[in-house]
Amino acid sequence: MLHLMIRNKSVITLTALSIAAMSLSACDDVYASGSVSTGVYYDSMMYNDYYRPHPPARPNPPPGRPVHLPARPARPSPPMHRPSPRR
Amino acid sequence: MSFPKIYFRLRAVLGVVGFLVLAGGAFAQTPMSYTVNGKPMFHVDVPDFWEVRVGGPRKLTPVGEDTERDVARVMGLQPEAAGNVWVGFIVPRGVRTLEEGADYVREIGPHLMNDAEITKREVRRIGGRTAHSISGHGRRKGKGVQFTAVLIDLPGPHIAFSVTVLENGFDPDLLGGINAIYASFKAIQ
Repeated sequence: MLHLMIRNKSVITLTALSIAAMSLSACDDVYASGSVSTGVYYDSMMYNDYYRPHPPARPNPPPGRPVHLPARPARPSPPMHRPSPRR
Repeated sequence: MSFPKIYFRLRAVLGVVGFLVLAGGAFAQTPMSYTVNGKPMFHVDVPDFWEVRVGGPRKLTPVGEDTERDVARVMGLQPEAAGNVWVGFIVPRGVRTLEEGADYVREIGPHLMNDAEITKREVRRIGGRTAHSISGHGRRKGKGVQFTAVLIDLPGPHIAFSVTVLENGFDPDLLGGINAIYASFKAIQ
């Protein structure tokens, strides 16, 4: 009788684990939600800003800048267009 | 209860449900502000189930270059379920008028796509502000793409530049979300 109960418990545990695993596999991966493809347009917009002429930089940094700057963001994908050097 | 009474009651209930669904859809958006040096420039509403990527003022050095330069904040929006539709916004530094913005559009074209061809130009109003819009098509990553680029006049010496990119094969149902983004555009005084 005891042997049968232990066997039943194992079966129940296995079933519960299987259901849990299946439920988890059905969840969306938060890091893979289809944003890879259009990242090139985002980066291209930034690179255009890099290459276009800017107004002259201020000689001194503005007051009140944070002492500890935040970590650098990830490097974007390389530009597909480079304009001729600035005059 | 007679059949006509039941019919009219059912119609009334369905009408209310329909209104609530439509109203819920219209308001189910999240407002976002684009800021420059902490000052809000404009708001747009992000439709439900769209993703937002926001950078900030940052220093950038492309591979093969040796100069580090600042780039402005880019705000990108795309539907969660589709990787072939993208809407971007930027307030470029040093571009003060729509006329100066025309040079900006010429510069950014080759960065966004190859063989861009303009098919339509128009002057519109977006959020009550004057906007110059150009539409056309080109190629990127070996795919045909349609684009609409818009320059929107902002209060003060600023303009907002926005571009919508639709890669071939996009779901036309997503145009509703794009229109909702531009319909929600509101410049901050």
